[in-house]
Amino acid sequence: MTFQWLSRGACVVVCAAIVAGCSLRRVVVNDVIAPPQVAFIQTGATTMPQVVAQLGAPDEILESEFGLATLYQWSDTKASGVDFGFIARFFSPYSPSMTLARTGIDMEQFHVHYDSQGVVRTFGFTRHEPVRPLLWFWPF
Amino acid sequence: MTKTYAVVFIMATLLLTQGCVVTRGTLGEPLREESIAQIKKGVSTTSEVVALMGAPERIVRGNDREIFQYYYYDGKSPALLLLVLNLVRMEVKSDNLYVFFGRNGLVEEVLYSKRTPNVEFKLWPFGD
Repeated sequence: MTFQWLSRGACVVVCAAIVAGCSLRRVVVNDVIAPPQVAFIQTGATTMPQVVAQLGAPDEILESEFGLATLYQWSDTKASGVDFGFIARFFSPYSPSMTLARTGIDMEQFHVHYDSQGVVRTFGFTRHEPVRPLLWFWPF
Repeated sequence: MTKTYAVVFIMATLLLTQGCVVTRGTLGEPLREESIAQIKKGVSTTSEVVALMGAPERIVRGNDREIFQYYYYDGKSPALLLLVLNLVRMEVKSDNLYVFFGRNGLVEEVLYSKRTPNVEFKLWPFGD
């Protein structure tokens, strides 16, 4: 019985030690638009109302030389950090800050350019970075 | 006896919610769907749209048209700030309305989508 309680206590201490000093932050803006969602768009055929019916109203409309351009924007920003100063909390009233942290801000866009008649002229995604892990604190 | 239960309940609530942070932020005013429904293509004028929706947040010109943009952002962010571990997540979504006016000053097209009802207080930072 005593051994069981001791092993449970040790498990809690180990779990606390593993996550000690960790900080995980995530900011998600708007819904992600994936390539399969835009497969219906055909250059020279699809119109702006048809695009909006499928994807919703864009976040921005710009004027280009040939017609209007619509922008859909979204981001999934992940930040994590470890404060190694937490170790000092166990034996010192003062815990210095020794933090390693990293943030990956991924602002992504999907552009649709229309001609003067409001028909899709061209469309595409901005450069897409590989999906970053959430636990990603090493800054070097 | 009831007093003891109340004190225990308050203490338990304080213990369970310590380290919790719940934040909400909005930008702009919510777009009222009943007002948007009153905007009629080929009928409504700029002044009628302004009377219904207020002045637009942005005006874009393109293709000989004037486009009024209205937006509303809603963000929800729960956080758990414990002694050894911090978890923070924030979700932001937007509602957008575009009203296209032709050279005659009448509404040609209305583009609208509402995403803010899908914003949730999600704490767990992993997954979707």
